[in-house]
Parts: sequence; C-alpha cells; structure tokens
Amino acid sequence: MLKLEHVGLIYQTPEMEKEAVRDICFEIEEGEFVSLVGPSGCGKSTILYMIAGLEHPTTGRILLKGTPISAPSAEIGYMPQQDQLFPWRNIFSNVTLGLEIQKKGKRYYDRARELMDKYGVLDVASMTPAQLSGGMRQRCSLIRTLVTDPEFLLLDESFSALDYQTRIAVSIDTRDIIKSEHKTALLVTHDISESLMLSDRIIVMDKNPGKIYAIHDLTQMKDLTPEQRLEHPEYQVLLKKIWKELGINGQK
Amino acid sequence: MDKNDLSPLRMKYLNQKRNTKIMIHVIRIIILVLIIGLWESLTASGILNPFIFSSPSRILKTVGNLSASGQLEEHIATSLIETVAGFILGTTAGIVIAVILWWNPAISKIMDPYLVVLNALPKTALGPIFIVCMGAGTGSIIAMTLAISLIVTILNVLNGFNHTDPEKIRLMKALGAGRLQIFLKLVLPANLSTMVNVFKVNIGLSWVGVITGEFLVSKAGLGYLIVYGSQVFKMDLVMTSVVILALCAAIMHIIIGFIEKIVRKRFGIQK
Repeated sequence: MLKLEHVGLIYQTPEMEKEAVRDICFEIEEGEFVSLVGPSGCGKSTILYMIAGLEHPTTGRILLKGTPISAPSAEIGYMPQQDQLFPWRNIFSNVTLGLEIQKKGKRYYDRARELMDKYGVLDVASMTPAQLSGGMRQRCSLIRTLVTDPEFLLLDESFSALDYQTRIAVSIDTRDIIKSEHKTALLVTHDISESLMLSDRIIVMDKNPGKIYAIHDLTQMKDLTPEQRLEHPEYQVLLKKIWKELGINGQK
Repeated sequence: MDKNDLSPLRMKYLNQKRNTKIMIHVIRIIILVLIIGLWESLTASGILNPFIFSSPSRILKTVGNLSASGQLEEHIATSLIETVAGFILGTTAGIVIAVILWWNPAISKIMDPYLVVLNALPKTALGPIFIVCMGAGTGSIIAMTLAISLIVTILNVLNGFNHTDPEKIRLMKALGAGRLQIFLKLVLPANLSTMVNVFKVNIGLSWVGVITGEFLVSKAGLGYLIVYGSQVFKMDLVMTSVVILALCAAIMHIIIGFIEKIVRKRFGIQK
C-alpha cells in the first residue's frame, strides 16, 4: 500500500547542509500496524512528514497505492504529538476540524457522530478540551484523524506526552480502534516496549544520518493482545535484540 | 453545593479567603479617603498653598462650575471621541498590517528595520509635522494617537501570530488547510488573548496621544483644559482635568476588562 524507494532528505540551512535520512526503503501492506523506533534525531519524524506530504524527499520517492505523494492528501491521516485539540473549539468541532477544512458533506458529519458514539465521546461533544482527561483527549485526537476517512494513519509519538499508566491504556486503545476500523498505520516512537506491544512489524533506525538498521517481523505475536505479548518469549528476545541494535547496553 | 455540605476545614479556608478580599478593599478605600482628607486639610490649614495644589473641595466646585456652563461635557466629549477614534484606527490598522506581514514573510523581512526604527522613535516628535500637514485640529490629534499606538500594535500582534504553536500549524497543513484556513481557524483564534492585551495597552496609549495632541494644538478637550489652566495659572482647572482624565481612563479600562472576560469565556482561553 505504501512504498518508500531509496528515500533521502538533505536539509539546507544558511549554516550547514544536514542529511536527515539516507536510502530509506520499506513497504507497508494494507491493514498492517508498523512502528518506527530509534533515538531522537534519527529522522523518524522526518520520514513521517514526508509521507504526510509536508516535506519532500531530495532523492527517491514515496508511493501510496502506486501514486507518488507530493502534497497532503485526504488518504493520509496525521495524529500529532500531544492531542493538539484547539481550546476555543468544543470537542465536536475539534473532531470535525478536518471535515471543515476539506469541505466535506453531511455524510461525513454523520459518520463523525457515529464514530464518537462508538468510541464513547459523543456525550462530551459539547465540552471543551480542558474539561477532559488526557486519555479522553487523545481518543478525540484519534477520532479527528479518522473522520476524514483516511486509509493510512501516521502517529507521531502520539502518546509520549501522557503519564505512564494513561499512555499504556491509550496506546492499546488506539491500536484496537485502528484495527477495528481496518486502517493501516505507521507509529513513530522511541519506546521499544510500546512498539512491541502494538505492532505487526518494527523498523529500527540509526542516526547520523538517519537510516534503517533492522526490520523485525513479529511473526509469532501478531495476533496476540498487548497483554498476552508481554508474556510471550518472542517479546523478550526482540526487546533484547532491539536494545542491542539501539546501543542501549553499549555493545552495538 | 449546599453550604452545609462543606467540611469545617473548607469553611475556614473560604472564610479566610473572603476576609482577605474584604480587607484588601477596605484598605484601598482607606488609602483613598486618607489622600483626599490629607490633601483637603493640608490646603485648608495653609501648610500647602491651595492656589498651587488646589484641593478636593475646590475641584468639586470647579466641576460644578464647568458643568453648569456645559463646558465640562463638551471637553470630556471632545477628548473621548478623539481617544476612541484614535484607538479604533490604531488598533484596526495595526492588526490589518500585522496580518499582511504574517501572510507575506518577505514583506515582513523587508519592513523589519523600518518598524524597529519607528518603534524606537519618540512619536511626539512627529507632532509638528502633523500640524503642518493637517492643520491645528482634530485631524492632527488623531494622527498623533495613531502614530503612538500603530507600531506597537503591529509588532505585538505580529509577534503573537508568528509564535502560533508550530505543531498545530503542522496538523492544519496535514489536514490539507491552506494559508487562509490556517489563519482563520488557527492563528486568529489562538491570538485573541494577545489582541485583548493589545487593546488594553492601546487604550492607554490613545490617551497619551490625545493629551499630547491637545497640548500642541487644540481648542477643546481635557488636554486643552490642562494647558489652558496652567497658562492662566488656574491650578484648580488643571487638577480637575487631571482627576476627570483619570476617571475616564479608568472607566475605559473597566470596559476593556469586561470585553476581555466575554472573549475569554467565549473562546475558552485561560489566563
């Protein structure tokens, strides 16, 4: 569904030239949940912005269902770091922000209401974001991404601002919603256990310049719940492996 | 919640809070009464020369005289109209220019040194130029007010616009928003708080512009009364005008404060 072919990006600033990412190649199949993990500064967010059409690769190309991406499109949904709900809008008009921007018809608003109802936020539709808990706000942020009906979702360290408990609950919640809506997703995170609990595949990145270090298929754990995964032997094996790859124990 | 449901600790806390609040108000009033009383008694006993320092009773008498002849209303109205006109012009023009500069970063870059210099320049120096160009009248006074508030407005509003959360801008772009949508749906509402602050500053600056302008040219207004009073050595008139000016400025400040409250409530902006 999504294909990156030898993608590279070099930033130009008056002071210097910086190679953000080099020769990135990977593919994501329909319905997959893939994580991109790596240290900060490894260019994982840059890759996300390129897929979102916000940045343009200097080399290679990114194809969505065979068509190169050149600008933001309705087929790709972006869920930012933190919820980024606007405090001057109530929850409903926050969730439907994308519909307003893309000038979508009534059908989409009905669907927005359906989604809000299905995931338990219709009752708070007229409240302001400040009245909601962090977890609820994140859920609204996800629904805002879903209402425009994109096929591909980009999650930009979407849970990193939450406290540990909320974070686990919200990330599992998000994965469940994405799976039940049959969406394909790419999650950028620096949290290895988060990626192991949620993904079907993990892409490990290295920095200076950002490049792919390894790709792991979670063959045995794919159909398990996050809780079951914690107890699966593959979880420990991969955790150790990725630790090593990221140089956490200093023996990379 | 019913008052009876509150815990004793909570009751104690709330009472303390309320008492502190009352105390602050009482002390404020005492200070005012003290100032007026001291002023009156010092001038009445001859320690301070009432001819130079005037006195509360003489101010009241002056207000009565001015009001009886209808002059008071006329002077207040003149200054008020000039201030409001200058405020509206300066604020509107400033915001419009800030929008243009935000929209086009190239123009903003080009204009930057001019704005910096104009901001540093004491605007009162422009007074004589306005008088030569527009004549000694209301036009010059409003131009003076505009000159004083315009640049500050542009710089403050533009600064607010440029500091809109980049993450939110990225979200808007990812949702497919163009520059107009980003402006209307994000930058503008996100900066309402900045703009209310600009209103507050501008109302003060407009008074400065009007009074300075009236010092230089006018035939009516509170600034005119102050200058005229000092020239003919009627200090009662000068003091009266200053007190009325203070009242007018305070009332305008309260009105802006009220508008601020409504805006904050409507748009869910926390202080």
